[in-house]
Amino acid sequence: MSLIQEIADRLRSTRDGLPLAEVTGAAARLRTAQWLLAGVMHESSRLDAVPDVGLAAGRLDHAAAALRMAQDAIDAYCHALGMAIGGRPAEVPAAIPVQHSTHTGAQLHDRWSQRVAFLTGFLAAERGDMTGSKSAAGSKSAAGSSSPASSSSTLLALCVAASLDRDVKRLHHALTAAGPAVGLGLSAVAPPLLHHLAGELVGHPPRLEDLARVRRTALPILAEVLPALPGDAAEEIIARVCHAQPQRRTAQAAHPVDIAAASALLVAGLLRANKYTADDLSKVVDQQRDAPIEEEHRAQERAKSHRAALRITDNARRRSAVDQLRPAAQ
Amino acid sequence: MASVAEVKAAIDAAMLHVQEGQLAVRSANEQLGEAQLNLATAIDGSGHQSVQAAQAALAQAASELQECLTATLVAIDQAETYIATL
Repeated sequence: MSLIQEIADRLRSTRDGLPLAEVTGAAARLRTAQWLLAGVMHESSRLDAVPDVGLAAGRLDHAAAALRMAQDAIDAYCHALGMAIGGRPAEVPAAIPVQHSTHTGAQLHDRWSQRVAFLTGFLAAERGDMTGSKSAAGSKSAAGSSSPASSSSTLLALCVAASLDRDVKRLHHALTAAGPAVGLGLSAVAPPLLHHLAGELVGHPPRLEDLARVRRTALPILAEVLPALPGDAAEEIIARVCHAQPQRRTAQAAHPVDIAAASALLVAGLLRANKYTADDLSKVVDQQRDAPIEEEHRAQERAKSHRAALRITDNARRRSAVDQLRPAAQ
Repeated sequence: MASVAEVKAAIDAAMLHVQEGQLAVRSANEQLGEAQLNLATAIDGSGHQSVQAAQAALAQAASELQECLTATLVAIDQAETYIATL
C-alpha cells in the first residue's frame, strides 16, 4: 500500500467514525424530553421554573452541523490531494439504550396523536389507513408517506404536499406516524424556509412593515386545511419571521403540536403564494441554504466595482464610490 | 388539569430521557476525541486550509457537546428544584 493510500484509508476511517449518528440520536432523545416538559409547562403557572432542555438540544444540532463541516473539509482535502475516499455512510440516528421509564413511548406517542387528532378531526387510532384518501392513489408524495418520516425535513415535505392537496387525512397520517420527537422538529426546520419564502414574496428580507402582507398571504391555508388549529401559534411564527413582537391573546403559551403543525402549513401557504408546488420544496431548501453564500458573492462583486470606480478621475463619482464602499467594507 | 403526581411523573420521564441523552453525548465525546487524535496523526505537518477547517470544526463540535452536557446538568438541577416545590 502506498503512503497516499494509507493516508486516504486513515482519513476515511476518521471521517466515517465521527459520532454523527450518536449526536443526532441524543438530540432526538432530548427533543422527546422537551416534549414532555412542554406538557408540564402547559399546565404550570410558573413557566420560568420548569426545566428547559431546548438549549441542550440546540447545542447538539450545532455539534452535528460542525461534524458535517469536518466531513466536508476532510473530503475537500482528499480531493485536493487527488485521493478518492468514497461516499459517506448513510446518516441514521443511533439507537440509544432505553432505561426503565415510568412513561412508555406509547404513552408519549398517544399524547401527540391525541392533539393531532383534535386538529385534524380524525380519530387518534386512524393510523396507516390510507384508503379513501382522495389523492393517495398514484401520488408520489402519498407513496412516500406510507412509512413514517425519519427526519423533520422529510416530515415537512410530507406535510407540505398533503396541505397543498388539502388532504387532511394524509396530513393526519404523516404527523401521527412521525411521533413527537420528529414532529416537534418541524418548528426548528420551518422558520429559515419561512424567512426565505417571505423574502421572495416581498422582494427583500421581511421586515415589520411586511407583516400584514405576509399574514394575508400565508394564513388562509390554515383555515382551509386545519380549521381547528388555534390562530395564536401561526400568528406568533409569522410575527417572528417579520421581526415583529408576537402579540399573544392569552397568557398561556401555544401548544407545541399547534406550533409544529402551523409551521408546516405556513411553509405550504408561502410556497403556494410564490407559485411553487410541493415538488419544488427541495429546490427552495437548496436556495435558502445557498442564499448567504450568494449574498456574500454579490457583496464582493459590489465592493469590486466600487473599488474600480475609485480609479475614476472625476472627484464627484469617486466620492460616491467611497461612500458606497464604506458599508460593504464593514 | 393534571394532578401533581402526573406532573412529577412527566418530569421524571423527561429527566430519564435527558440522562439517556447525556450517556450518548459522553460516548460521542469519546469518539470525537479519538477522531481528533487520528486526524492529527494522519495529517501531521500539513498546513492545508481544509485540514485547518476540519480541525476547527471538530474542536467546535467538542465545545458544543460540552455546552450541551452543562445545559443538561442545569436542567436536571432545575427539575429537582421544581419537583421539590410541588
